[in-house]
Amino acid sequence: MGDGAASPLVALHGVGRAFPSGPALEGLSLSVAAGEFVTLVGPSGCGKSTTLRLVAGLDMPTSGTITWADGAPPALGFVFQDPTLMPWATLVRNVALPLELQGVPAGETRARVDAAIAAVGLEDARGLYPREMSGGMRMRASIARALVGRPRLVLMDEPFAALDEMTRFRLNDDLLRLRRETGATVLFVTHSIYEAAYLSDRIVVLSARPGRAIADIAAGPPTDRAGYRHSAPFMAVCQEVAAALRRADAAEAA
Amino acid sequence: MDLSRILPPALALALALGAWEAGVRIAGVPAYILPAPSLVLMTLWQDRAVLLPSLLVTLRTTLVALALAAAGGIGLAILFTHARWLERALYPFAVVMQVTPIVAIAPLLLIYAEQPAAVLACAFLVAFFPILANASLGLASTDRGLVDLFRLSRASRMQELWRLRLPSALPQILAGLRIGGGLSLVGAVVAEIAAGTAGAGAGLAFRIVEAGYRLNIPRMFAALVLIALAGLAIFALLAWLSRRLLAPWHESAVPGRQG
Repeated sequence: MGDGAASPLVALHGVGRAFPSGPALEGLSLSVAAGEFVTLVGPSGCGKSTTLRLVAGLDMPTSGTITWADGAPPALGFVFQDPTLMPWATLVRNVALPLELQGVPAGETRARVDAAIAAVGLEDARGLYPREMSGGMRMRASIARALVGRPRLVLMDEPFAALDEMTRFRLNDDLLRLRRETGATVLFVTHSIYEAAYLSDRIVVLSARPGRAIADIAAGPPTDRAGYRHSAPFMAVCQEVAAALRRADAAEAA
Repeated sequence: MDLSRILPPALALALALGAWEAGVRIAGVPAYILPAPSLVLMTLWQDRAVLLPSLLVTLRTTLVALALAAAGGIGLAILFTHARWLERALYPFAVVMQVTPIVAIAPLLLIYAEQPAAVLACAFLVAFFPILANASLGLASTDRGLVDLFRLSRASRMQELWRLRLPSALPQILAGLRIGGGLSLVGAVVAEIAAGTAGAGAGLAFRIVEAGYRLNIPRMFAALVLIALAGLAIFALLAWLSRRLLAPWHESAVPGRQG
């Protein structure tokens, strides 16, 4: 925990990404320790999603470097803002996709897909097509697909933003349970202060575009989150994050 | 089958044919002006030795042209997604061929090529562009997130094509085929009329022209009915294929949503 400096799984050193329309990130330094749940929050357009894409290797930084504990990226899982399922494939085929693309043998694929579907509680929806599922079910399917490859690092880009609040609360708790079970490291993006405070070990606040880290807040939540949403420590974290975001806004206005 | 959906069009067709038959009989219109439906039906049966081989000629031209246009159009669309410069280079040609009326091209093709080849080329040309355009659109509109997902899983370009781009473009590809199927019949008919070849290899369209010269109006109608039925059959076949392939997942093919 803390700044994760002891042995970060991944570290960004002064990372920048410039697009033809201007820089999205500039001088972003950030490290995530193995097993940590780190959340990025910041004004819209501050480069949160760009950061995840850079870490995933879907995009290349124009300045700075990204280093990995093992020298190379470990197995990654990515959960997009949209469920991003193949509409022509059933739940089982969707979850199996990453393993099939990597040529994992059929027997092992079947067992791991079954386990991933059970982990998100979709056993009864195995044969359904995405259009037959609710928004919450689709997002669960998307999470199952991200977990089926047994990732050490899961990147999540505002995965619950489009869901109603009750579904989001339930998926928040499911996510914390899955993370406990798998021991995966999570780098999470959200624009909800409450979601960030509830889920994270550590919250990194980014400045307005071009984004860089302006606050690094250790949340230190209890392992058992029952009642945490209504506790004083939770509210204190929320207020600290909100204050940092106000500073980001003020810096932009100045 | 749902009776309430079949009954209205069947009733309307029966009424129209009945009115036609009654009108011709009551007014005593001669068959060389307007034949009654019953006479057209009889002519269809009596002239079957002439009309059926011609139907087969036209149908074969249409289907071969459609198959070639499908292979060429989808193949070229795939190439376009991999090489944008190729698309920029070739697309203007495809557009020029599309906007020039096939009636105007047919006589030229008949100068350069033997009649069967020229007819086939015409049918191919009109079917090719809609298939290419629709397939290009479909292949270019692949979900960006899914493309990212495939890249994250280190998918090869072949995997990306077969498991992502083609399935996601399937609705548009099938829409292109439905349009192309109807148009290749149009192309075949236009070219046959322009070619005007008599004899054993003559298609249905030539039978219409021939019957017109001989003032054999009932046979003109009979040949016309066959062409219409051929067009309907091609459309129905492609619509069935489309429903079958898209049924479980695409909104257009979900039962009860087809209006």
